[in-house]
Amino acid sequence: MQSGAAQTTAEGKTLLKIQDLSFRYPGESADELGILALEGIEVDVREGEFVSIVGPSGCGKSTLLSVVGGLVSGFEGSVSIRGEEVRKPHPDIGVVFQEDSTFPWRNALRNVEFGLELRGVPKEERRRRAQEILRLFGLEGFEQRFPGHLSGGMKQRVAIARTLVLEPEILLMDEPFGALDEQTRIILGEELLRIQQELRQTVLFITHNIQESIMLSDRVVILSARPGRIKAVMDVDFPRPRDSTLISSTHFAELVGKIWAVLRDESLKAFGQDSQKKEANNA
Amino acid sequence: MKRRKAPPLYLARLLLVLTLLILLELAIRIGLINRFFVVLPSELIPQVLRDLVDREFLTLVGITFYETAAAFLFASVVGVGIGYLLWRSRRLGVAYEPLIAGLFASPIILLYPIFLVIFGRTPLAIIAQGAIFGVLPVILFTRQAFAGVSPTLLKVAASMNLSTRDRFRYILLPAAAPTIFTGLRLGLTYILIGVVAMEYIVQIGGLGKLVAETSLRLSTDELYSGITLVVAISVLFIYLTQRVENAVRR
Ligand SMILES: Nc1ncnc2c1ncn2[C@@H]1O[C@H](COP(=O)(O)OP(=O)(O)OP(=O)(O)O)[C@@H](O)[C@H]1O
Ligand SMILES: [Mg+2]
Repeated sequence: MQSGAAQTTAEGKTLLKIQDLSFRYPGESADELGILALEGIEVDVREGEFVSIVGPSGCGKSTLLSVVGGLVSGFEGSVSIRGEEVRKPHPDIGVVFQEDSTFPWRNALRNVEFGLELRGVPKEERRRRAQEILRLFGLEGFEQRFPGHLSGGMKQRVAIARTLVLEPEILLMDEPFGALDEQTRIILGEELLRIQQELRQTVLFITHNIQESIMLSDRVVILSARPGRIKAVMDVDFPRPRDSTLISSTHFAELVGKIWAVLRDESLKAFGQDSQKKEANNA
Repeated sequence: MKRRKAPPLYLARLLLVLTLLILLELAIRIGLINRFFVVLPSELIPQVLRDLVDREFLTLVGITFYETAAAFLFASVVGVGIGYLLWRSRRLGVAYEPLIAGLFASPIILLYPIFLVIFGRTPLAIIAQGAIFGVLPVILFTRQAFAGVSPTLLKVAASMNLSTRDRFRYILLPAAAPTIFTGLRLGLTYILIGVVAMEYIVQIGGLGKLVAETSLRLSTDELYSGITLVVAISVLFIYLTQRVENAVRR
């Protein structure tokens, strides 16, 4: 029955459609070309689907998320949500950013309450909901702490909680577990999946952790070195709900091997790009 | 080993001030410091208390307070406004910031004759001088404060569809507040210097004039009483800006 649930979501309608998307960062001056970050990206994400994006550092993953989030303009191609072109941030989208995005002037609890506050949720209720999600994220007892007195991983958890508490229909997450240790990463991954399944959220999830991408997603999109193009797409057909014992299965190892084979070449290329540039600069 | 509860901060401050006053008292009494130049704290405090019920003296305090407050209000509102504009419009910022920085580094106090010519020997001349003097650091720090707001926080604001007003109130302002308020406190310092120096030089109005007169009369206790009140005004304003900053950064 559980695999049946995954089946229906897999057959759901397209929610997010990215067609022939290219994006170039503007150069320093008018006559300079700037950096081509993305080229010819095509992805369809179905309602309730969990899609991961992996790719070498600097290949344009965060850029892709900014475009989908409506945070940058001037891209080529088309990005649409439920058939509507994305021109500005869509109200149904919640974003978790790669860098620390907590408000240093608010304690953990009031950070998480922020969005609820703006939506006019009564104080009692928003406090209860914020406390509840902080507890789920292992931050009970840290509600009154300010980000300056939290560890990197704790701050990241506060930021994730701040977005999740709003229960957005579409979640864009940029390496949300990047600052976490392996154990916390797995626990929070399971927590995220539980919430995602419960709310039937559609998720675009950026990670550099291959295991994590397989654990969580229905599909893994592998990007090439810059400019980011789609190198491969892998379907992950493990039934849901999943748990971390999956990691020891042979099919899991196979998938890791397949993704790594593609990613390895691209990572080496990305590495070469950077060192070549350095040499050019030195010369 | 139990940690004892720390005493409240204001007690620590009071203790420091008292200790320094007692040391000063001792230094004067054993002749380390000439009584002719520095008044005994034990004589200063009764003098301040006497002055504080003296109508003439209070008028002087009131004038200096009024001039400082008016100049500070102008510098805060106009300075934060201009600083914000210079940040919003990158071109304006790039064009004018160096000018303002240059002006800030120059001894503007020497412009006082101009203000006297324009406004006459009135408190208005002093307010204008103080305001111009104080507005510069406020502009510079405000622009820097907004420019320094983390782009990630702005992305958060955008992704949550905050209105322009909410973005300003809930993200920009609290994020920029520490640097803006550093500028305001610096501006206040310059304003107090400007106001009191101008009163002193051109002999109009408040405590600066009092300090000038009493120092000529070698009336040390009155002189120091005047200085004490200048310090008190400064402390009061710093305290108030701190309160406002805390309110903004919520
Ligand atoms: N604001 C910007 N202005 C100009 N170029 C940028 C900007 N942000 C990113 N880039 C360039 O675009 C490319 C893609 O950047 P992006 O941040 O999307 O990479 P990423 O895949 O998220 O990398 P990482 O895994 O390290 O986070 C990089 O090569 C970077 O140099
Ligand atoms: Mg990134």
